[in-house]
Amino acid sequence: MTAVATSLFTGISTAALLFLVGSGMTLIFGAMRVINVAHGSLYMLGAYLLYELSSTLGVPVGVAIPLAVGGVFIVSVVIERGVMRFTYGKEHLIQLLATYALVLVIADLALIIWGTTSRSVQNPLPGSLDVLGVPLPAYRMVVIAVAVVVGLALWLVLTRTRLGWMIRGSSENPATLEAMGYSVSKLNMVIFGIGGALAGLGGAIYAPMGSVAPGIDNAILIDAFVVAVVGGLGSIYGAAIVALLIGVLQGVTLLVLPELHSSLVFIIMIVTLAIRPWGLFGRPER
Amino acid sequence: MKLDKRTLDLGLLPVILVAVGVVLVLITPLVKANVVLTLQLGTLYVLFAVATNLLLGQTGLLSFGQAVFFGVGAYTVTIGSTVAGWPFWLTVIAAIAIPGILSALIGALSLRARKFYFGLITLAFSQLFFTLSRQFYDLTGGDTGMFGVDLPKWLVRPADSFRLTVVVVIVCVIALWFVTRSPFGQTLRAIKENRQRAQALGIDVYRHEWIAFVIAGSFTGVAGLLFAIGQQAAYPTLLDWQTSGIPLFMALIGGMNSFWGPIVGAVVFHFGRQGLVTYTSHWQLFFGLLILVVVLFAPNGIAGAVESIRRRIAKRRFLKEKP
Amino acid sequence: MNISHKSAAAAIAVASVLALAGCAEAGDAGQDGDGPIVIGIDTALSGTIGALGQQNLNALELYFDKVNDEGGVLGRQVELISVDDAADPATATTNVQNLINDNEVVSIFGPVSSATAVAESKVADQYEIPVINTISNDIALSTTGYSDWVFQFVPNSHMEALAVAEYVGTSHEGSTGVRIATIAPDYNQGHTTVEEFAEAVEASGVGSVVDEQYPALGTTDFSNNIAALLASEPDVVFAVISGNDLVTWTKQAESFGLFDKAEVIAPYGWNLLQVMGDQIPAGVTTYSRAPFFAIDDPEVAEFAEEYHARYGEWPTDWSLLGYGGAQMWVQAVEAAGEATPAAIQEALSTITGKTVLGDIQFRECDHQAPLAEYVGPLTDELDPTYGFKVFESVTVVEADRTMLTCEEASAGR
Repeated sequence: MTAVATSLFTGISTAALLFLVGSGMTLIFGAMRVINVAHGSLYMLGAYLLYELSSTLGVPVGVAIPLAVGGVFIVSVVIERGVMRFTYGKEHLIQLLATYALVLVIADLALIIWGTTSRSVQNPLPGSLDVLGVPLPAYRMVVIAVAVVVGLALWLVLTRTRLGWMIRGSSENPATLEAMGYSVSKLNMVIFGIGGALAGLGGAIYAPMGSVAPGIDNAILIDAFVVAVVGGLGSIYGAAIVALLIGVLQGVTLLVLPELHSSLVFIIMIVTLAIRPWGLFGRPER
Repeated sequence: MKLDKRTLDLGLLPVILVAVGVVLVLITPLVKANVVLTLQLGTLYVLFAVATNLLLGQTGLLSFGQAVFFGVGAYTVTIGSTVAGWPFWLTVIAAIAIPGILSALIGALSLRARKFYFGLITLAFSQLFFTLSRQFYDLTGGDTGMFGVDLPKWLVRPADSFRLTVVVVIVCVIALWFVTRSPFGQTLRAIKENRQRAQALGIDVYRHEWIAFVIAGSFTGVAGLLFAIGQQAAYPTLLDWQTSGIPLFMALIGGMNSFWGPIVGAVVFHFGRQGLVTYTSHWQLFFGLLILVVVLFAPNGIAGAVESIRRRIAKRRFLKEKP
Repeated sequence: MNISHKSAAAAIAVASVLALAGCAEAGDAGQDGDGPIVIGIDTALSGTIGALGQQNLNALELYFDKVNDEGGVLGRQVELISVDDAADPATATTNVQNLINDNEVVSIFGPVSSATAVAESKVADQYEIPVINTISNDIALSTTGYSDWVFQFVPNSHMEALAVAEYVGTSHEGSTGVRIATIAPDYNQGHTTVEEFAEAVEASGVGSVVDEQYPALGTTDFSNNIAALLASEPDVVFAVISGNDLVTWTKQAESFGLFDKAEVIAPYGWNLLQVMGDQIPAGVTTYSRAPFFAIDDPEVAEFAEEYHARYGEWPTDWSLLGYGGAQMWVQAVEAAGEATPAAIQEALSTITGKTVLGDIQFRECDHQAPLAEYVGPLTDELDPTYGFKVFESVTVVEADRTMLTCEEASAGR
């Protein structure tokens, strides 16, 4: 029984992380129709920045995380202005390869700055709470809380604020938005910045419960893709639901059908896209 | 792109390819063994790129899963000749048939998704096969891979496998050339130009795309088979999305909108990367920057650049000739 | 359209010529004469396992610089050429081919990953160039994939599994119902290590393996596996996880309280000890192939100081193993009296070399160096000299207790 309960809890905390990572990708695609393969790299950057701030500079983790996120936001904006801006409207492959080029560049820069050794960030909340005999790590509860807050904040911004309205307008009909006097170009900058910052948040939050090392950019990328795509590119609650689905299912398959464990995410992606190509909650390409 | 002129012009590219092939076969004994092996790799990558470009440049289908057929082709040869103990000719047939059948199945499933989602499904297949090849290590040798193909005597020396590769690749590329020049190929390009209009004209778009996918998959399987012959090995990373990305890079660098673009792209990419890796440990940085430059400033690749230079010369000539 | 085809022809021709020209790189002076002795190393210097290759290469460069300062080998300077294979076997094959054909190396030092090591051994066997592996310890290299030209200066995976089993057996001597759980990545080496460990530990009679977890390779979240481990109520947990993954697993397992409930045995090399510092929970047992701080030998201490002075960090297992392997090579060349591949191979097969890890002779049937494995509990506090946790006490499990018999090694060849 404890196995199932723990499985459920860890499934939710995994889902929380997946949601953070996938939401940024789905936001960027939903609003700009751009696939950002460098998403994992921004995640890694968030983790490394957190390491520098907390371990090297001694900033407490709670303060360091928002700072790291801010740093990744700036980097994302620079990338949008410097590279992405020139790829809009071109073939998908061009955008994909441009962001993949960035993956290589960022990976090598990270190697140059931080080297090949892995880094460890001290977990600020190492203990676990005993809830009905099930140990629930305290830090993971914080991760879940952050994911919920971010999800709510995103929803609120997208539905209740002018910025959100502009973002949704930009995805449906950018020409009209432009005609109304809004700068789609500036909007793209902000959207890409936020999407990248979300990836950075995922990395920064993950760092205290994992390791910061070369390779974490690729490791998270496929997960991000699956969550964003299966949920429906552009749908934030789609990302949340799929993240939950994957998180819980991964725990369940480990108990019931362990051979399926490694292939699970890919099978989900294939089955979903074959039946509903635009994801569970996405809208068909215009 | 003028379809009418292209239909008449079947002859010149195959002739050029055969000429290059003859030269390569003749100079083989003059070249050092390690160079021969690199050349062999580069040659089969040409086929990999051209086959993939049948989907990308000719039909407008971005497949991120061609590595599946490449890797399965390579694994069929290695598993067939070691674990299963098949004679060589049987592994060759299987290495074309199995990727072919797989591409029929995967294509049928994946082509239900449009455009970009098609790319994602194929990417998922690529990672799925990669994961499975590591998981079922009793069959595939797992992460370490499978080494030691039982090659027939006439293929053992690198020079021999290189010559075979050159011949096979040129035959296959010419076959693909005829496919693109045929009415079927023209239809593919029409689909690429405007899918909806093609559909409105009564073309069975799904069937055409599916056939193209099977052709591309089968020829990619051949490339994988040649890889196994040359390297005498197969391993899981041959199936992952990064390997799927390689022919796409080659097509991009060479120019995906022309038939011969991927050929040049494959050569430039392969030898360029090999050179980079040898001379610097920061090859990722240079390689990434190079791709950025190509993507931003020359998205039509080398073929595109050549084409625009040619057009500029023609325009100048035309303007000079005006009365 | 003829013009387009002409440009096609021109482009293809130019590309072909460039390709051939690019391949015909200038080679360095070869093996004979008075020029330098050229040797090569192809290993992973980038990517997730790049750290291991780098630490290994550092030690080799340090050692050969020393050797060259003292007059070289047979009066000739040693030139070490290093190339990055990024853990890709095709690149490794090409690199080694180039090292042999263009640079005319007389010996090669091996890479990090098993796949590249197997690929390199094939090339070395074909061209008859001796290879000394000091990191990759896949059992295939000395059994099914054995070659006369390949030498293993690193305890293989079988030896490691048995060494840990031996430690568990002796540290629990007298008990019978010890519950042991294992966790290893889901690939062939992970499974084989656990199998061999289980067999050996159950043969010792102290207990049995009650649960085996196999998380997918590259997992970043081990929670489900950790929960399952906890559910099996183990006394001992054997974690065959290394590198970055071990950092991740440790922190996650600790947050679930696993370290309070069981004795955890995992390979915390120096590198991880330094990276994690006091984030490693108390009561942990580690196993290591060559921990410089646990070997009581002035030569090791001196090497560690020199390494630290030059690179700003302490040497890892890979550094020490690389150093020892290089020492074997130098002594082999001197014993052979000439720097030709065949003579060096002959000498390597027969000499007993004095290395920083003891007097070593490669075993004749499988070219495996009988190196010991070091197992033992870590201190709870950071060591004041080094700033990281060190062994509280060390059990040195000698190779004669862990190596395969020659019959076992030869089977399947």
